[in-house]
Parts: sequence; structure tokens; C-alpha cells
Amino acid sequence: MSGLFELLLRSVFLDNLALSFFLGMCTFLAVSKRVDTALGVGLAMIVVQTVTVTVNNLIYTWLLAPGALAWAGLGEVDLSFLRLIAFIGVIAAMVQVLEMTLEFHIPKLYRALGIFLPLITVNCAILGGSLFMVERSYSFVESLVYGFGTGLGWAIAIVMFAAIRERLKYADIPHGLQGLGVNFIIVGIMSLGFMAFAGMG
Amino acid sequence: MRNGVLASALDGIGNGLGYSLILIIVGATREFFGKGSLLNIQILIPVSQGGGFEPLHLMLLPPSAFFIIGGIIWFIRRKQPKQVEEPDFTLRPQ
Repeated sequence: MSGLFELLLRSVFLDNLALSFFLGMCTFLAVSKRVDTALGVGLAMIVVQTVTVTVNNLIYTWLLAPGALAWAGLGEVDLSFLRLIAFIGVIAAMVQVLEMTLEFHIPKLYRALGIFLPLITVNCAILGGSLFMVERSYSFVESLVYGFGTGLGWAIAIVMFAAIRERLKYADIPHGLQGLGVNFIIVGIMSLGFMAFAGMG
Repeated sequence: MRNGVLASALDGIGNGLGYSLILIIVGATREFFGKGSLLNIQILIPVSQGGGFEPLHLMLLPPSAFFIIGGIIWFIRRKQPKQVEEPDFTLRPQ
């Protein structure tokens, strides 16, 4: 049990996908102008990440991993070379469902997210989560915790970043650093802060 | 379509080259200051091996990449002021 809690803390803070692995950077920088849109995309990220990592874990364990098809009498078949296309298919389907749900129930958030909702499909943080899950051979429960944790960590990071950016509108920034430049510096400082969680694990 | 195959191919090559240029600059900076080497060839001798170079451990951690990219953006925009983004609000002169 404590192992799972440790994994959760680790995936939220120290192994934060955005700030330690540079994953999902384009969405991170582009949709963080306002806190409410950042919160929306963060929530979408938590949902998509939790579901896709878990579903991909099931698919990998029961269909794709070497010897996974033993239950069908095909123990010598190794389909793990199909994992990229299978994972991307699952992610695309998930985002499609999420998009239709949001459009129907929360049209305001749907419009605010705009192109960045479909872009979650090719968000490297999502695919990265699934690939890390395979690489570190997480069990079903572990991948559930890991998916939720990384999604939560990414959401926390983008909401904090958006809050800082909102305050920064009133700051006197050097002319050439305005906009993208200062954003990178801030992400760097935030990343430095998240590194400090290294002592926690 | 406004751009043909050739123009698109050139655009793709240009984007890829620009990306790798930044990647090489960031990577070289981080390796040089973090380890004192370039492409695994030791250039500066670290203190632990009797030299005079104290490796900057921060350069091996993720945050340094953000700082370097931020610096590169600042440098480029100082050279090409057209790329500077205008602020959403202007401060009232004190």
C-alpha cells in the first residue's frame, strides 16, 4: 500500500511529466494564458491519462506482451511491436469520446479549449505515460495510480503556471524577454521547485 | 493548396534543421558546463580528478534546459525585434 502511495507522490512531483521530462510542452505553454482554461485542459488531461494508461496496460498485458496470448493458445506469439499503433488508437478514441462529451455538456469549456482538445491526441505526455508504463512494467493497479498521478501532476503544473502568468501581466519584463522568453524562465524555476521534492521519495 | 511539394519539403527540412540546431546548442551547453566535456571528450578537468573545473550539477538537471531556451529566445529577439510579443497591458509610467 505504501508502495502505491510512494508511486503516486513520485509521479505527481518528482517525475512530473511536464517539468522533469518536458512532455506535453506545446499544450503546456499554449493553453496556460488563463487559469480557467488551464484548469479545463488539466482536468481533461487527468481523465484521458488515467483511462488510457490503464486501458493500455490491459491491452499490453493480455494482447501485446511477449507470451500474452497464452490464454488463446498462442503462447509463442509476440505482438509487442504493435504497441505504438495500439496505444495511439486507444488515445485517439478516448479523446474523441471526451471531445463529444465536453461539446455536449460543457460547450463553454469546449470552445475555450478549441484546437488543443484534439491536440491532446498527439500530446506526448499521454503517449509518454503509456510507454513509461510498459518500460517500468507496472501492474494493473500501479498503472492506474501512475496514470492518475502523472495526469494530476501535469494539471497542477499547468494551473500553477497559468496563475503565475496571470500575475505576470502586471510585471515589468525586459522587452526582448516578453512573452515566450519569460515563460521558459518561469517553467525553469517551477521545474527547479519540483526537483526539490527529490528528498521526499 | 498554396504550397507545392517542393516548398513543403523545403519547409520541413528547414524546420527540422532549426530544431536540431537548438537541440545541439542546448545539449552542448549542458554537457560542457555540467561535465566539462563535449561529445564525451573531456575538455575541462574536474576538481575531483585534480583539475580546476567545478562541474555545475544544475546543468544536468531538467530546469537548466528551460533557462537556456529562455536565454536563446531573449538573444534572438534582441537581434530581431520584430519577433517580440507586445504585452497585453502596458504599465503606466511611474
